[in-house]
Amino acid sequence: RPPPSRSRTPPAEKGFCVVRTTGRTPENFPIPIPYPLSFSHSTPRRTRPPALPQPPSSQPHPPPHTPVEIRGGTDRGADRGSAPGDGRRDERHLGRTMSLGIPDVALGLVMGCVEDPWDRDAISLVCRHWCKVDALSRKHVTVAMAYSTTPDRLFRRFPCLESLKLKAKPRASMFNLIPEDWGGSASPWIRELSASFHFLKVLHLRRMIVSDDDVAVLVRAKAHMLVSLKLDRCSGFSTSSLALLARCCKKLETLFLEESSVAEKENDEWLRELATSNTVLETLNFFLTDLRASPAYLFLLVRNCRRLKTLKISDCFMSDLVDLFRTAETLQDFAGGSFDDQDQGGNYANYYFPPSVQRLSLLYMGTNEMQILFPYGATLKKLDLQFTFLTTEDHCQLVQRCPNLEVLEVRDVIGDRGLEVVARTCKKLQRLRVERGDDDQGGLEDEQGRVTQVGLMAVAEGCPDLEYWAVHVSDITNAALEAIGAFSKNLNDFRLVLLDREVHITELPLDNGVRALLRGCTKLRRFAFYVRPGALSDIGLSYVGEFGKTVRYMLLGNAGGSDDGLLAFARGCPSLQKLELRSCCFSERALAVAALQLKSLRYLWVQGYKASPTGTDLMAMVRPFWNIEFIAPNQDEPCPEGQAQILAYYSLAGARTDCPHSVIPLYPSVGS
Amino acid sequence: MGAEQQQQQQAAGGSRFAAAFGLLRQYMREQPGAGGGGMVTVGLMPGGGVDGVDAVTPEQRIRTMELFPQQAGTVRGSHERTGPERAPLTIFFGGRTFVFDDFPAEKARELMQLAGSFCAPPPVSDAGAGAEPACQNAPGQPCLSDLPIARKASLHRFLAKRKSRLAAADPYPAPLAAPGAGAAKETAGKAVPEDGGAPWLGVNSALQLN
Repeated sequence: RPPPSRSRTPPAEKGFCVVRTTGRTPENFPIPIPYPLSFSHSTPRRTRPPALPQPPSSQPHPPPHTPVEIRGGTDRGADRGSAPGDGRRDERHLGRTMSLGIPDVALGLVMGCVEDPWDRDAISLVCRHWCKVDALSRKHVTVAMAYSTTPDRLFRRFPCLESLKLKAKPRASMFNLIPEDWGGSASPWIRELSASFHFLKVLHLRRMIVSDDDVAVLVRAKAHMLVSLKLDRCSGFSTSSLALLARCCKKLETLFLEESSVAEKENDEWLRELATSNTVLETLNFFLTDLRASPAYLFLLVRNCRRLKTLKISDCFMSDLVDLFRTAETLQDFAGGSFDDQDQGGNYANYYFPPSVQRLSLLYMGTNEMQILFPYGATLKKLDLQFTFLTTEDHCQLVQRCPNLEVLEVRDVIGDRGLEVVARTCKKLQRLRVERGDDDQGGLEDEQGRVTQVGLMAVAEGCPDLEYWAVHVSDITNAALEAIGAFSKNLNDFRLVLLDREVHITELPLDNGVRALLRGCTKLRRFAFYVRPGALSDIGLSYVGEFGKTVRYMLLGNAGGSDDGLLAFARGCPSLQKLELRSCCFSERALAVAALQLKSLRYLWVQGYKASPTGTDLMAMVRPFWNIEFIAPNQDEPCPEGQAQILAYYSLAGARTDCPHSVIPLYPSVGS
Repeated sequence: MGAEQQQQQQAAGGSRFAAAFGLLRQYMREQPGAGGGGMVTVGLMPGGGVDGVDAVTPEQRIRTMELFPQQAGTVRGSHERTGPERAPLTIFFGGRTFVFDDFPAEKARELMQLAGSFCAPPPVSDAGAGAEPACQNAPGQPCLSDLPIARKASLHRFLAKRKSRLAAADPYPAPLAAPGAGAAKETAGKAVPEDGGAPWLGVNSALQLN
């Protein structure tokens, strides 16, 4: 079977609630209906109302006429005698019984080719039998909110899972807005994984707490099978766990620790262990961590792991990595090397990168060092300059040498001038991120380091292949947004933040521009619009609802002017599943009404709202399976970051049982 | 009631409430058991549980609470008070939330009387829930929340590192900043690695303020 194409499409959140909803109450679970014999892949992606998921009592059991055997699993109800053989091999035998005119064998094969989770979702809703076949043939599941289900529920539905991705903390935690003790422990999940999930090879935990004990349990159970482990923006573990993984997981091809907080114990011995124990490693990523890594051990790793394609490290001087690059013949993706100021005479003009290198992110690179990239500009497909010290002019000089860039990540020091160079040069650009630089007017950032409507329009016209575009602007006009709607037809993810630097914005409100953008970008799935009060009126917000038909995720900041805007918005956005609102002025009542009205809403995060006098207006959105939590503001901090938050999400697991003091579950209450 | 009146009342009642709150704190300190751990839950909708939720263990007491004081006016749904003596108390005041477990009923009543006596009717004015932003803007304008735009943690760290590298090595901007011993203070708490893994000790001279 073809490998699951997880990275092919943009990293969309592949569904929130693991158990798919039927749009009906459990009593009316769909019965098999006559269906055309020719099942095609073009099942329309209906937007389903977020109605009641099925409670465990109506979990479908396979009808007796479908012999479905699973080797090595303990799936209840489906085991039909043990077949001899290697329990780890993924073999399922479907009988030749017909279901809706399609033999099970064929059904299993067809479903196996369908990897897109939205398509799988549709398939699983056809009837109980198809739900079961889908469940057994599903290889990968993403649980976007770990508290929306329980580990054993997940296993009961998908016993043959090979790959699992879990996310817990709200996205706001990447902006330091979530209390440290909020939760998101991986322990219950890892306990379940160690007891069941016999086919699991790939595990990705994002924004979770993982302890050394958790890793030990995981290693004990899965070391012989683990192919990929990603502890992505996690915390709670130490380098001892890394050493354990290195020693025991001989099949590990991917070890990803980006931006995690790792406690350092025995220096970088874990790296030496990895270098000496593993020969199949393809990806090692500890970028943006504080882990130390000596060049000697890195060299050892590269020499022993001949398949290494991605190496992303923390700080290490480029001058110490010369030998490494001479040895790494398969390396494609490198990040983290930095530059030593003491090496004043360091001439980087002749620095050697292997010809295979296509993606680079170099830390603290300055004007004098950027020549290191000049000979490789034409081969570069991805360039990350977010953590460099380059000026606007430097960006222009560099980008103009990189006509084959597909991914570019910079701070807004690139300026309009730099973006014009991008538009002229990078015709194949697919992903562009323009992050927010320093606000310090004292001159740490280049004076030309401002992005405005000029840069936006240039990029829109010059880079028609853009699929992902995140940009922080200092000024904006409607015409710029209209240009994006007119030219950036491939956009599926667009995020704009209007910074607070300029007091006066050229053209406000942006209602018409937003409307044009949403109408023009028909593939838009994710949309963020973080502006200032007055930049998007109530009418503009109603446009977002009316024309944001395909958007599944949205972040709105300072949007709308009153509750009317939110209510108008909530009448639209039929596909909206995840909504984040920050710094808006809506009342609790309006938020509650909007949450109920948005047809597909499964997850709501709000910071900054008008509280009701009694604080009970929020309860208007109480409904079954809808967890409502209140995150209390940090009492020790007077700063606004400590403002209260509301988090509401669908869950089959009931209220959280591990809430810290800062998290107050408003509904449901345990035991009532 | 106008926003100005509300603000006035808040300002006037602020210091007196602070005094009352000081008494409350004192009481809390005297009671060692109070304010202990345990989940604070609110039961506002009876029978709103979820099928399949694990049964409450014997150690967990079902506690329901009135989220806001009686004087505040409407309390939605029916609520129960379990136990005649103690119940959790939550106070929202001025953008902050205070939660106290096992708060005795008489003290709660006293507190509510005290709070109630500060403000002229309507009594709901200073019982606003935590997230009331400080709106300082002309009437007719939308409410300007005071939340600054949050920055991504990774970039925040990078920019902070850059600033401290400049400040530590060279307080006076000079063309070629020599890395000084002062830069080492940024590495406080970290052992200096044996070989070249300490770029933060130097300052990138390419960073010129032009």
